[in-house]
Amino acid sequence: MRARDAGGENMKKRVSGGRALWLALGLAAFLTACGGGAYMSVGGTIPVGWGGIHVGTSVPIGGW
Amino acid sequence: MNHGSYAHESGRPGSRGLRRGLFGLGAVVLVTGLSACSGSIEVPAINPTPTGDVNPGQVVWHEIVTPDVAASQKFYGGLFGWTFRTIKSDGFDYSIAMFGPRPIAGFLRPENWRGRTAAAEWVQFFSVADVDAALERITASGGSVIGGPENVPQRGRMALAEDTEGAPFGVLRSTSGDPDDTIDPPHNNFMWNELWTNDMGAAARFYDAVIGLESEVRPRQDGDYLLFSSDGRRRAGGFRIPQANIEPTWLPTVRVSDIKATVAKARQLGGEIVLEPRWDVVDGRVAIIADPQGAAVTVRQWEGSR
Repeated sequence: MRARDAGGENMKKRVSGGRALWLALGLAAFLTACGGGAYMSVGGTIPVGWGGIHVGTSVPIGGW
Repeated sequence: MNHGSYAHESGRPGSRGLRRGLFGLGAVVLVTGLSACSGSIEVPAINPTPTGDVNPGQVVWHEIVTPDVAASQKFYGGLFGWTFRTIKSDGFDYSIAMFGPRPIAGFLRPENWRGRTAAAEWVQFFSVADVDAALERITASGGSVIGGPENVPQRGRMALAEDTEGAPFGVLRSTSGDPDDTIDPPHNNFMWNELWTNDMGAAARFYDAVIGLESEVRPRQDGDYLLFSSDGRRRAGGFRIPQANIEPTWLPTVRVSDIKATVAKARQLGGEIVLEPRWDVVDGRVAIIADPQGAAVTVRQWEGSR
């Protein structure tokens, strides 16, 4: 699960491209070091997982 | 099938080509890693006592991908009392979470997961009668196969996929059959799964076509709820993502006996609370927790029965 910024699809494209570039450059170790919910900046904010996300609006969860 | 007011919605993000190609690498590791290691390690069947049942659409297994299996074990063991059987083999770090004598989830550290090396995410597996046929339907319906299919001895034939919005899920034909779907889930065990989607209509059509999940829209005060079912049994739910910084995914729900105590314990163990228990959300009996690695799980205090 990843979060994306409020910029929508255009930002998402940049983020995906940025992620690919980092991986292509062999900087995966840096990403690993930034795990655990930490954030890094590659053309935008790339949260790793749900760390730092807060659901602040009402949501129809728990429909069991 | 009832798509309610969402029957004519459609939507498939157009920015996923590159992402799919990269993300597939990690997914292959998840599935083929199990298979490759299965010659030297034992992966237990999901049912200690074979059932022989096949309940297409039932969620029968969960896996968590995590950059730190040991840390994830510590968190979930402390939170839910799960114990673990750790399996290590040639860089493939895998662990089975046990609920008493029953295996309930796999903990895995892939080299990368869908293009990310430090990702943390829960993935649930749906029972299907025929994995290969399901994969054909996934592709035909606009999803993508990102791992497998592979035969994993004792567990069954399994594969990983993404739906039309990129939410990952697995399909499994269990060698030992599917778990009994008539009993109430005990505390600290999985009880439910929910899809966070931007397009409820597209999701309803997709999971009907590929898994055989029928769906209906149930209006609620806080938004429409998509209820998936098969064979007359409720299998999962779904709803529209409420805010812009969340991408489509499935989240599992674990039943707990005391929501406040669970949230407090999660904080103590280093987790973050994504959704605090609030009176306006299921009377304060539900919360979402992000574990220290960033994977999210919903917890629900529930006293009812099926």
